[in-house]
Amino acid sequence: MIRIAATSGAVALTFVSAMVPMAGMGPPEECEPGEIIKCGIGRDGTYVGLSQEQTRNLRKSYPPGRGPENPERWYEYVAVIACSGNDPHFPDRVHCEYATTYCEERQPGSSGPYSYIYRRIVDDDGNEGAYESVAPTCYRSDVPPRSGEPVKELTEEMIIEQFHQTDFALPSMSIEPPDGRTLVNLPVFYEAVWPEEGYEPDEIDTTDIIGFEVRIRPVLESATYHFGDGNSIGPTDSLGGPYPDGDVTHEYAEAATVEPYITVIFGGEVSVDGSAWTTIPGSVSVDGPLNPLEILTSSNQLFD
Amino acid sequence: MLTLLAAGALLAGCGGDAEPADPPTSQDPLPTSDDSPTTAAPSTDAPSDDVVETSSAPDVSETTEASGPPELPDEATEDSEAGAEAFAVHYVELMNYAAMAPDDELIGPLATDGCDTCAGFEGMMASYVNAKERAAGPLVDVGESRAREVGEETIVFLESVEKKPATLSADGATATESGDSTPFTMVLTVTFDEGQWLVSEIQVQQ
Repeated sequence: MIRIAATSGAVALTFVSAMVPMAGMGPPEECEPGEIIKCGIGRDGTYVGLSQEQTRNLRKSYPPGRGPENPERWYEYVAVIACSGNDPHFPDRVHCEYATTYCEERQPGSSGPYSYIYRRIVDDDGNEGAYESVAPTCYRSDVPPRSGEPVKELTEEMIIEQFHQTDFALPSMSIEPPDGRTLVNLPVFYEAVWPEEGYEPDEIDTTDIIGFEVRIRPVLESATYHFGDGNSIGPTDSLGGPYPDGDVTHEYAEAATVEPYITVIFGGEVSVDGSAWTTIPGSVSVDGPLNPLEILTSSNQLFD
Repeated sequence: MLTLLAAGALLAGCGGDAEPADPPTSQDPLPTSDDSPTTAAPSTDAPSDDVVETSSAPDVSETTEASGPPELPDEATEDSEAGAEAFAVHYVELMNYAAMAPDDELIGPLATDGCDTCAGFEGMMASYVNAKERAAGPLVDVGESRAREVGEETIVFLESVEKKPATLSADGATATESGDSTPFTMVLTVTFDEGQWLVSEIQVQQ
């Protein structure tokens, strides 16, 4: 199972130390007298924020005199994206390139964006203290909601289930000759048509799953055209087309009333909290509606 | 000053050109009775190295040794955020004293074996001792400070200034000139174990 504690870009949940740059290879250099900053940077490194583990461990901290055994008061945490215009009451109102690139450059693999963690004391009576700053972090999605509560994780299973629940558009057919009638041995042209209802390929379905903004984008993997007489074309990635250039055509050999339809295989891509698009494992098969078609014969008659 | 609560034009949605927010200072945006009070670093006894205009530098060593190393305050033995903060400030004070004494055995017992920067600072003190030299003043001035518990660790943020004092030889002559001061934040990770705090990591934020 892949765990996605996602915001921008990252999928992995491996621990990343809050050190940038890492101390170089070989023994550390001597610290020259008076060179405090240089010594610190060359040894334990530049501070860029809490590590992933530290961020998650915030859930273990309680106000003085309180703990898991007597949690009448607890810390409530909020991660404020480091862009002007955000504050603890509106923590993600504004997104900026600075906050995204800061983490991509200094803590690759972190979820980002760069955020300042704030906390306030809340008690059983609903009293809320003022917010106070804690520390910065690039692991915004790992910030727990409060003391004693771990961060909820968005799993791949949740995303796959949501994908399967997507209201996919059901493709119907545009058939030429029109009006639901054609002749034996006459080429019939088929074209897939997406209705207004439902999500067609590249149309984004946005939902909220346990507080994560999840965007799912259907991808057309293939279409199979069933002609209603036992014959079909596909799987193909063609959507067909009208006379005379369409590449999905069929000739009926006998008069009959048939009900051609299209089967579409949808793949999907997902983006969580604005992260890059990634492929969803698996696919969904949907059948479009039936399109009644009357196959007629023609006969020649001479009139005086 | 914290600017995250600033009004003004707000950029809705994904504003790629939105300004980064200023980092919060150790001062809280709103007052609360639950806040730990910030602690200003106590001044050291050693005089500044640019105050006395004589032909030779003042004999700081005698003054420093006479006053002895700073004692660990009682608060610095408490298992609390305030205790961690007091301990971290004491560590820096002790380092300043060690550089001016000089003494290369004072700060080692306050750190874990895994603290690389601490080992670097110890080496720095040993450099003074081996060269028979000392710092003419404190290495670091500490201003605002705050400590935040993160599970089993506590992170202490010290708003600091690197002083780059002159280095004096045994006879009080100036061995190296003083340098420019530089503000920075010293970030100490401390852990409480068997009744005492220890420094496990010191990083720098600029």
